[in-house]
Amino acid sequence: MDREERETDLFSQWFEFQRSFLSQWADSFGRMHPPRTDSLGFWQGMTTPYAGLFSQWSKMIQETIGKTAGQAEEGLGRTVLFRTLGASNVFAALSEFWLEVLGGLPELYSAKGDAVKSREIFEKWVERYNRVLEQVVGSPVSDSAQEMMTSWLNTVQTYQTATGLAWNPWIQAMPQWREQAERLMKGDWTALTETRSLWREAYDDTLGRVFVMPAFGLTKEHVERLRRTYDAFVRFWSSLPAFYELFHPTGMEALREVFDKVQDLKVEKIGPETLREIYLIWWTTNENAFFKLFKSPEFGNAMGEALTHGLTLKKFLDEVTAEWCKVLSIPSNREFDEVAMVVQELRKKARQQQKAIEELQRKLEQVA
Amino acid sequence: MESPFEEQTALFVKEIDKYNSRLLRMTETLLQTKDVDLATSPKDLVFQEDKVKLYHFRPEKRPSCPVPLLISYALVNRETMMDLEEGRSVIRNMLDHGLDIYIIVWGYPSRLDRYLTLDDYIDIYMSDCVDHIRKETGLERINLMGVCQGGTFAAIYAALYPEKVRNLITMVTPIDFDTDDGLLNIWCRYMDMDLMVDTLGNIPGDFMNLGFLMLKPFQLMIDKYIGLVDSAEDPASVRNFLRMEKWINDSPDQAGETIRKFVNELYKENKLIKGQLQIDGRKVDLKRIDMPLLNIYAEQDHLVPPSSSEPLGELVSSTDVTTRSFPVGHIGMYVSSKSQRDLAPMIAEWLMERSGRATGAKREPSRGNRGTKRPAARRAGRRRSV
Repeated sequence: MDREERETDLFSQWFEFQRSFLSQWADSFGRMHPPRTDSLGFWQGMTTPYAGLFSQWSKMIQETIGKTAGQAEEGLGRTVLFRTLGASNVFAALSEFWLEVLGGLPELYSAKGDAVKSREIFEKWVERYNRVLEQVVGSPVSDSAQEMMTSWLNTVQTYQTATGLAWNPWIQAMPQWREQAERLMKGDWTALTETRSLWREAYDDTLGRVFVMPAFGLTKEHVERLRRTYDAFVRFWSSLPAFYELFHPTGMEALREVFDKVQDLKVEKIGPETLREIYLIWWTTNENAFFKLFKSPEFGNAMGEALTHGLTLKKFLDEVTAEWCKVLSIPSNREFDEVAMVVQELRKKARQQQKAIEELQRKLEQVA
Repeated sequence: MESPFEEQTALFVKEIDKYNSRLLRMTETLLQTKDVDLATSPKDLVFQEDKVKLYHFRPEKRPSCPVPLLISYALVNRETMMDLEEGRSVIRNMLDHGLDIYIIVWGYPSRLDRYLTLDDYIDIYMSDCVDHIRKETGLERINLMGVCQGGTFAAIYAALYPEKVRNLITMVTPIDFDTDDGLLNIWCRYMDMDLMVDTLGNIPGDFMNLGFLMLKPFQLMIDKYIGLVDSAEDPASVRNFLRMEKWINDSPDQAGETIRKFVNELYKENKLIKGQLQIDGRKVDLKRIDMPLLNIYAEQDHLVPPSSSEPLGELVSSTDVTTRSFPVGHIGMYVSSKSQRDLAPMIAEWLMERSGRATGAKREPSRGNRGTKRPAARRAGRRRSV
């Protein structure tokens, strides 16, 4: 079994595992709270009457606030408001997911034994939970941090356009890639793994071969610099999924724990009764789960790799940019750093001389 | 008759309605607040060298402690945390308890400062600040307090110049970096610091901040904002939140060569406690710290775990070592009600006991004659919680 197949297989096993645990959970939960026929009747024919309820509501509120905030002057309060709105989106998405789960329980209970129906319900839950995870990933970090997370990719994009080298046709020629990108956009993080494999495979067989070829002629250095930069870009791009793909299973594993905890509380008849109680269980459980992930060597290695490739890419991009800017009458970073180095040495010399003068003055005073 | 699910849904809808109403109310308070002031305790600039500034706080009453205290905060984030707001200010509390306080403000390094080294920060800037106070007060030795990374600096300085430090206080200070209790300690092992500094020059403050947020992503990036909505009806509480938010996001860039050495030689190689760290060509031997030491750490510190701070007492030669812990986190050490109530009086009392009477500067006994040494109480009294 090659690597790609193995990964696909792993994910299908994982998906089955999710289904299995959700099914068991729903079954035991249903025994505690057997559905009443009138409630089944109420929901019959209404697949998800509450779908989008909170997010629509939240969107409406945010539009109202957004209009006001948009007219307000920039400042600390405004910045914090936008961060709060981001966090509120997570809360709304989680609330909606929970409502979906509770609403689906009677249906699931009555569909016991109906594999197709059960699968539909579980898939809906997983899809809904993916939306929660999406909101978490896009949750409020400072603008400049967001900028930092995207700036390298933006730079690369600009660079591609500027050099006229056609990455896009290459990408677009790969229907699988597009399909995976679409799945990713919809929150299916398993597509990341497949994408990475596909990307790397395609790259190694095509452009990768070109980029490692030595160049000739007058533009040898320049061409090799460009090729090295593209190679660094691919390496960076293909290292990111390994970093992010750890998040999804951790999130799903945390969800399993949340379900267990809620069930335990129900058994003990101590709640949770409110969305805030569920939310509290959810975020604390996730915090612990991600803490464990962040402590693991797998995460450390993936983070280190992504960081190293990202920095290497930036280094090469800076070199290319500096080369282009040579003809302009502006100082490059390298030149600026040379000045900084000289300034630093001058500071040291000035300090030494100052100390020497002070020492001489002290001695003079003693003599006098 | 409503089904349990309908009842539950109705309750949830009410709850979300309440949340959204609060969010709307809070919007008004937030949009009216363009900025908030931090660190408002009055102080005077008394010395400046490049971007580094030394301030002297103006006490409301004459200080009763005869030896001034110099505070060295971390390069990461700002010292304003020590004086966040009235009612939550460690500085103000210490002033009220009779201490005479100076503080180093490291400033914001620019690209021009990328070659500033750890040696420069400790052996030039900190050293010159200490000398300035010694000269100004006429004292041979002053009290030194380092906080967080500033505590590591203070310990290194005290080891290099024990003759200039009368009492040393370290607060939430990393000393032993070889621990698995802190994520920062773990993550640093996987980072290619040389590549990072060579590529970026200075390390952007926002990059550091993102790392700190990732230590507790759900709490720091989501839950605290959800909690903020709960305080919508209390504008004062919202403004307090904004002060903290301003502080958290006010992260100076880190001078490239400084952070390179700090991460490589301390986080990765743990050279400080191995006695292998060199500053300006001189080995830093923690055993040279022979003055009274008060080592304070936070029991729930996620940035500097207790296992990183606690060992200092064992590594110095002081016969007077006091180790104290507080049941708070790293930030709670400066702002929690418990620390507000107990921390400043404890520090003030500890210093007063060891700073002698209000002597004239030149009359201070020389190091060899020090009479303030406490008997070997080293082991006793350790790990006491306040």
